[in-house]
Amino acid sequence: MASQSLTLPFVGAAWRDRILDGLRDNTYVFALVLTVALIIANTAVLPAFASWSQVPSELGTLAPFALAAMASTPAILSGGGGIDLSIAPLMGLVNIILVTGLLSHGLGNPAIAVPLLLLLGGVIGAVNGVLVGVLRYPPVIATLAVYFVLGGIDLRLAPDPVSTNPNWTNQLASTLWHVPGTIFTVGVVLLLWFFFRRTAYYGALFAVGDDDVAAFASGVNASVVRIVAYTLGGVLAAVAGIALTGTIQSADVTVWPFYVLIALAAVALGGTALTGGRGGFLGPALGATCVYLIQNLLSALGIDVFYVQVAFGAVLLVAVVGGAFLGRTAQRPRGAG
Amino acid sequence: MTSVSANRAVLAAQDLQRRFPLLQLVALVALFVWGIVGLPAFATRPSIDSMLVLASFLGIAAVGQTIVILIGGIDLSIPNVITAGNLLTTLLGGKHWSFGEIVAAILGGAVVVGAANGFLAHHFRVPALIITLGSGSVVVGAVLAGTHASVYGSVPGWFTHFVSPASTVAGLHIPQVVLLWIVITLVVGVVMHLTGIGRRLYATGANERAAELSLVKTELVWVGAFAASAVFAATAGILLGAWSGTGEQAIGDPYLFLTIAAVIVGGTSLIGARGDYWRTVLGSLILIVLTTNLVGHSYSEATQQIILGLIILAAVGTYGRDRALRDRV
Amino acid sequence: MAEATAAAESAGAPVTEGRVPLRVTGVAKRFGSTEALRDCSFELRAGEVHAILGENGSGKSTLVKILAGVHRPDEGVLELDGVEQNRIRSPRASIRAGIVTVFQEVLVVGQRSLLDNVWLGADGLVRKHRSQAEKRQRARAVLDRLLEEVPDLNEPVKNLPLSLRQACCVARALLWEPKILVLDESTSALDVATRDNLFTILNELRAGGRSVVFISHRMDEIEEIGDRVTVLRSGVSVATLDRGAATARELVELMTGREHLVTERREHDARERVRDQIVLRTRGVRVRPGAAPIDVEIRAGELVGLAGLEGHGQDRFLRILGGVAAPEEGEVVCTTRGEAVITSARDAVRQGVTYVPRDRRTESVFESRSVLDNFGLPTQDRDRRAGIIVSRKTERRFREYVDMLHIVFGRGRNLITTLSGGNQQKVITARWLAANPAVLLLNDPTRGVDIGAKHDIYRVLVDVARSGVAVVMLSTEVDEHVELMDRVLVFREGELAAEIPRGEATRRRLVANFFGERHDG
Repeated sequence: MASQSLTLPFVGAAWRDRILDGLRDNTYVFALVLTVALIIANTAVLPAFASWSQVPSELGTLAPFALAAMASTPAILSGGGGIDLSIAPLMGLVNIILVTGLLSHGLGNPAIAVPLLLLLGGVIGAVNGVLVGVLRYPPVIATLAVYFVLGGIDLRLAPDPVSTNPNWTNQLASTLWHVPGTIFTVGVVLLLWFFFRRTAYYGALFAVGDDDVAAFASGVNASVVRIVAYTLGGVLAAVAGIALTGTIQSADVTVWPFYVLIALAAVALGGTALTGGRGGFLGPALGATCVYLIQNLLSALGIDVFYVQVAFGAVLLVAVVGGAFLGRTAQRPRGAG
Repeated sequence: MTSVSANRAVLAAQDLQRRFPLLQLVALVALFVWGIVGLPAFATRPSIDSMLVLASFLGIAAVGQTIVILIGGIDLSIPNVITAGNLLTTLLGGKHWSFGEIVAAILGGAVVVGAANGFLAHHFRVPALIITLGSGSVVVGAVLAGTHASVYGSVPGWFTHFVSPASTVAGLHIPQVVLLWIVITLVVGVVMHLTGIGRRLYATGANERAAELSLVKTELVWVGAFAASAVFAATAGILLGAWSGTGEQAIGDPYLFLTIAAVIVGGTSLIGARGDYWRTVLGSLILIVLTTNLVGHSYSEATQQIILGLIILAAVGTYGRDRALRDRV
Repeated sequence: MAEATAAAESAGAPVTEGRVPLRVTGVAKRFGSTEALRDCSFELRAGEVHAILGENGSGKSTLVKILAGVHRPDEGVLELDGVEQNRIRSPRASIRAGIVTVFQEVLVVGQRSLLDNVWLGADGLVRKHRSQAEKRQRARAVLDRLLEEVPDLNEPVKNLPLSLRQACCVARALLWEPKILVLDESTSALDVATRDNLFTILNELRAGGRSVVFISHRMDEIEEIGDRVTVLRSGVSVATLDRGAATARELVELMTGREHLVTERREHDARERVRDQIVLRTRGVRVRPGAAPIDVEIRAGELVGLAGLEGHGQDRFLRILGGVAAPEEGEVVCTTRGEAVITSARDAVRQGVTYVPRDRRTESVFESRSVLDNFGLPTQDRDRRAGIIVSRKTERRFREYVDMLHIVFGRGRNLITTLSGGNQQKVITARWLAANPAVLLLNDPTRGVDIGAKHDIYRVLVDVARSGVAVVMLSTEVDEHVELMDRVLVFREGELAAEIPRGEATRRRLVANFFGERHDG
């Protein structure tokens, strides 16, 4: 990806850098094109899909997909085999606590509930971060073990689904103050990401994600960078859990397991490399949109829900294999004849 | 100089643990004693036979997980293949296929699925975690859709007896399925430690690049390992079909954390091809005795899962962590 | 030798004038059962370039890592400006204390830009300490002093050649404006102009009262830039000498404990050893796109050296010979039994061409496996009986090489990691000798290997060549080429720049050819 010394008219060097930076991570273009194609397909099958009144609730259903994908991203970006499998059960935990612990006990005021839940997400994310960044557990196994623990907790707290009365989360999944509620979840996160890109931490995250040894040897505190990455993931998972509550309006342990695969498929579709050091939030968000649209299309076509499971699995496989096929680096030893 | 001798003592202890799963044996004995003390009828014949049968199911399902973890991967499709095997057994049994045909069809399908897993993961350098997550979903979704998830089939009577804890072998009080497990254990042990295939497997897990340069066809190793994993998972699914009598939609789910826990608790490391199937056998026994104790003390399945997650963290913490950054400069 | 001792004593005396920015006393460090450093002491004066000279395995790298905060010493004292330091526990702490290190390995973050790499670690995690504009300006200024031509600062570093990546690491260190600059073999890939610019910068640092620790195994460099030199041997600092206080021969003796770096200059037995038969040849092999094609013929019994600055194609060429890498163009033909084109490592071994890789850890050693397993893997089928591998047979085969190479180990089923680096390398060499090769390719086999093991390896290579095997060896140690090889192929810019026969191979001539300088006499 050689960039020539480009001089753009009216644009100073600093702006030019920003534009180039943005274009450099254009791996999400494929997801963007696919999104457009899927929107067209969905509208063709069910014209009501594109009606203005449906959009807020569609976005509301999309929100947990996108947020789960974005929550999985910081861990992947931080490299070293980074991945966070505990995002989905954490979503579930937030969902369950919000419904059974807060809303049903009169503590559902968003001013109380939201910070509390975000804190919970952050703490659990930090646990993952310490396991990986300080104690050097392989990320797969650390987050998998946490997945089991959280899954067990979820099952204990809500063995059967518990519905909730209409509450403020419902507006997140539909309309809030005349705009789609999703603006306040996904929109806010994307906006924060935009500013996040200017921070010092951002550069450190990508350095550590690409080559942690080089970063460490140059004085970057790789452990702290990874702890923060997983903590961020936890906080975003909490947001995802809140958005999820908005759509399902209940505490239900059978829902979150799907998000493991959905999140990873979305990240892969969006073009983020699983090896770390490359990517952003836009890719996963677009990838999640594709996954959501595929699910929507299949159910609009009346296809058996089990085939949706097949489809998700297939999408994940195609996305990762396709991504590996297209983008790659490694020199492999030519051992095999 | 005492720090040097203390260092040496630690190294010696680690070396011993590497060669001989002492910790695990102690844990197994301790858990067994806990059971005898805390639960009535824990050490009776039927109870022990039951535990052995359950351990067989887990142990057989975990053969593949062991092999796959040794080469540096992980197989998340095992629970799904178990479920698929289970559903198909009862479905096809209900359609009056002969037992031989059923087994051939299911295991044949498993080989294809597993081989695809190994190939995709290796050839495209995608983490096995992701590939098996996706393929598992495809497999179970396809089978559920095909069987419509409600299956009342039938299983031959002798097969039900095969997996029963009450069965015996030549008059000896060993349930027949346990004998199968013992045979599998011996065969796997011989293959892994005494044959060229086993050496190539370990080499691939220890250092894939060096293995390639030493003329090991690592792609074949991956394909074979994952194919074996799927076959053993499918076998466990078939056996579970006899055990439960019906097809169940979620019968395989607990085996995700159970097989991984069995491998890890047994002492096989996640990095560097350290460990073997004997350890997983021990790990399976430990887990079943533990869960029997937990069930006996009325701990819910949810609590068991939590405890297992914590045990995995503890076990990996002891012998499964990565090198420090400072050692990689 | 007397002069050397006297100089060493005077170096140990307290410095009455000028500060002592760094004093290292009695530092020791072990890793497991390996003692990397046993007793290292030296003093760095203000305004001095202090060279550390030592072979591979002398403890240089460990010393560097201790100074850089990567490791902490088991014993000994580090003093900065007379104050004992025990808080240097990370590279970050070391930098804060004023010591900035350029490591031997070129550590860059490939996907980030040159600008980001040059400033790697400079920002904190919360706040950026400089504006982008200031970073750009200062980066350009430093790179300008170092390089003849500054590349695009936005270019991802992975697209830059090795020499520029190494220059990037040097620039990064300079931007810290350190009190003490530590350069660990940091010129291995730099071209002449850059290296000269670097030495100019070092002189400026010296004039400004700052200090430089310059680690190298190249005596020509040390002669040029070092004010004083401390010689390390087997983890011990054996002497500190002023510039010019010792001859090259004396330095060699200090470094190795022997008179010659490599071996007694052998009888020129090439005439008996080298056969007429050509065993390996290359036809039009291009190592890089656009490079000149290379046609080379290797004869049975020959000892051929591949040399050059790092990153100039000799590594790739060797791997192409072994079928491990693919040439841009051209082919490698093995002519041991008829003619066979080599297209893969498997092909190569089948034809009798075996390759011993450079990086033991990532390319050769199976750390969780035993010594025997590490030895026998490629040839294990020979030990098979009825499908089972019989360890006793492997043991028997291994014994032959144990004697040949003097491999020191406990039991065959011990983990290979219980062996020293040198012995591990011997096991790997045995692995490939066991394949009965007609051509043995070795990629820097004495890297990180102690002196004793080195000599064993040299001896075996010569013996093996005498028995008719062609040996092609890449080495970064110039003296190995001078004293072992029948001819040396020098690589520059991905091309075969010179072929130097034994009679004309001197240290000076070889190094001159690395840089493309004209050398007369």
